Amino acid sequence: MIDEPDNQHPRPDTFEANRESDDLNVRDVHGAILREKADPRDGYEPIPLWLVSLFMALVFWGGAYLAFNSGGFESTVFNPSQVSWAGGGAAAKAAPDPKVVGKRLFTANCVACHQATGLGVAGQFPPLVESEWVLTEGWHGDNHLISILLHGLQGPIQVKGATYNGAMPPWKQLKDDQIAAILTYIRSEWGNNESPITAEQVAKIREESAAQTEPYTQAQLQAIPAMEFDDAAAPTEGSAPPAPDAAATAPAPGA
Amino acid sequence: MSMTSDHPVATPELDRVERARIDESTRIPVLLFFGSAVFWLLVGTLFALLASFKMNAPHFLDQWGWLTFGRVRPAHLNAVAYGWAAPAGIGVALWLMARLCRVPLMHSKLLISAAIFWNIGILLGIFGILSGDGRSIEWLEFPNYASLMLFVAFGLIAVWAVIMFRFRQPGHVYVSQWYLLAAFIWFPWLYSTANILLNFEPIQGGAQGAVNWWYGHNALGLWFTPIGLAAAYYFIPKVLGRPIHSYYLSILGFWSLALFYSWNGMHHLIGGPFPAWMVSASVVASVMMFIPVITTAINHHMTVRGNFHALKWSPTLRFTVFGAMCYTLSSVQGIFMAVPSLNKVTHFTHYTVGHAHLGLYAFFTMIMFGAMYYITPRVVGWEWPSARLIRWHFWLVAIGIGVMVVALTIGGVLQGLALLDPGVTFMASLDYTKPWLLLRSGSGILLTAGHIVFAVSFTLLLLKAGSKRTEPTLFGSDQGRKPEALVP
Repeated sequence: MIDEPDNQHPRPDTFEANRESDDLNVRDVHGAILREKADPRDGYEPIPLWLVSLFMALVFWGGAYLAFNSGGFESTVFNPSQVSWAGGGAAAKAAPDPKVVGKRLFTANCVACHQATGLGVAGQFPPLVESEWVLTEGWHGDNHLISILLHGLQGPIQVKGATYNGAMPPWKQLKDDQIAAILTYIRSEWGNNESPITAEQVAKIREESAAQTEPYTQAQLQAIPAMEFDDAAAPTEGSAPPAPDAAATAPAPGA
Repeated sequence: MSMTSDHPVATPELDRVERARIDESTRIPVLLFFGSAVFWLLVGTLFALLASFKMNAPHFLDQWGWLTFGRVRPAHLNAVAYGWAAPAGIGVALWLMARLCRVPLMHSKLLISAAIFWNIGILLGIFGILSGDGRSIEWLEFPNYASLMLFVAFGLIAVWAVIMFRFRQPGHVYVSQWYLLAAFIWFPWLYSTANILLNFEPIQGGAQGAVNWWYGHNALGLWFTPIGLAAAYYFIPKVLGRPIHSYYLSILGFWSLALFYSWNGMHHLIGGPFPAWMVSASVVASVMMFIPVITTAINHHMTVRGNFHALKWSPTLRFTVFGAMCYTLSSVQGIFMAVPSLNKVTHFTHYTVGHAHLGLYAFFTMIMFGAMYYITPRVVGWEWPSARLIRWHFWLVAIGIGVMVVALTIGGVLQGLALLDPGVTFMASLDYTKPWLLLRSGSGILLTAGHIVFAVSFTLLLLKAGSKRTEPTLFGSDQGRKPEALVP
């Protein structure tokens, strides 16, 4: 302790002797005042060098972090990890993976019936795994699959040799890219391996089927010629012939 | 001062006369603010207990709309923040301002009016919240008629502070005073800006969230923190009779706090609909808080170093050092909570609640207790009646807040991890918090008991209970032990 001896041990007698006045009898006011130490003073120890270095390193880190996470200080960029000064605007437009988006939408909207496994519930909800409806085998086309999602499905249907008689609600409230993402997801998950569906394809079918007001039946769908939006060939236009095998393997009309 | 012409200014005797005169002049305003603070502390603690019990038993007392969780919880926050913490801080700040300006307190009518406006404001505000008039803006739940009262009170105090500083005795301006003056100017600015932009002329959309958290964080960082630090910077060297370690560290700490703190609020909005640069700038500024925090911690620690034994005796020092240590702890915790990858776990969990109590209670409130243990006997002219009550107070609240922070921290992390796990439903994530919330209610009972002990002790002092003594009331002095060094 470095301190004035006066402050360490108050000496009331000295104080008494020095007191000349007057307006305040300090001892009566309070004993605390007598024993109190002097008001705080400043020491002048230098700031340690290691501390300055540490702070410089922190500031450097701060600059670097901002450079890579500020979205170029654009007011319209919301995801800090999407854009950096280096990446520029191009990286900002990187579209999200439709399978990831599709999985999220599927989990939110479809698992209640079709289950997270895509296997459905025997006798109640048809499976999506290896389903000819999903993989567009036989008379089924990509346009049918999109139509079902847009407008729903009702009445008895045959899936993988079993008959289901339920109702699937329409999902036309979802946007084109959302429907495309869901379909792309179910066509690539659980061992399914079919080409992705794009938002443009969904938009096209939505436009063509605008007149449809209630869920399709299997017979109605079968009456619509199948379309295959294969990535190999250019997308077939509206009046393109049905897929070659569709006519052959689906001779029995639904009704 | 009649004696200044005959004597050199710096004699200890003269200092004492001057200090006695100054203390005397602060009596009424300081006691008004302290008294109302203690009252609202009890009210706020009661709301806290109620809100905590409702977490354990959701239907407890929910048959009255007035006592539903949605009202009791903001009533707690506002009663302790604006009813207890702010007036306690103002009381301490008034006394410190007068002492550091080295002039007797002037224009005490300004302060007395402020105290009256303040208390009416709190009363209206709490009543408004309970009756369903509250606003769903955290930290600004008071209805307009109440916040207007607080603003008037604060305007008066700010004007007073500027006048005091203008007419101070010439000489060195000590670090505590920088913080006090800054706080007195910052807070009315924060409070009026936030209230105008959110309640009187509301701005639209996401910007409301930005203003809300700009205010919410700054109320802690630019109002409570500077007052708490001002008190720590004064009482630690004062009680020990040592100089503060380094003037240069004081400067660095003050200006880096002023520079970085006001950017911090946006880290509450990580993941929200805000431009990336806003949130990232805030994350950087939050991490930069290492600079003022480490600086201040070193400055305080080096001042106490070698004198930790004094914590055994001096209530002021023990509360203050406890608070100063928790300042470091809570700030470092807050810095890590602003890092996005960790924020993902802790945000929207009880962890945040634990952090808030570490800051506003373990840091700020404990320093306020310490300061009140020093100031009140001096303005009343009576020593604390019972060392035993002070001892009970300290241990009840120190253990209480310790248990609360640990419980909420663990419970919060478990809750956060469960919320992030897509395999755990929301209801199941709540199960993880149940035992920890029960523990929190237990800690709340300890804190309540501590506050009641403090209120009793404070009231006995005001009533000048017991016999007149001139020696200080120290820990252990009632057990016949002799302090190694005399510490007030």
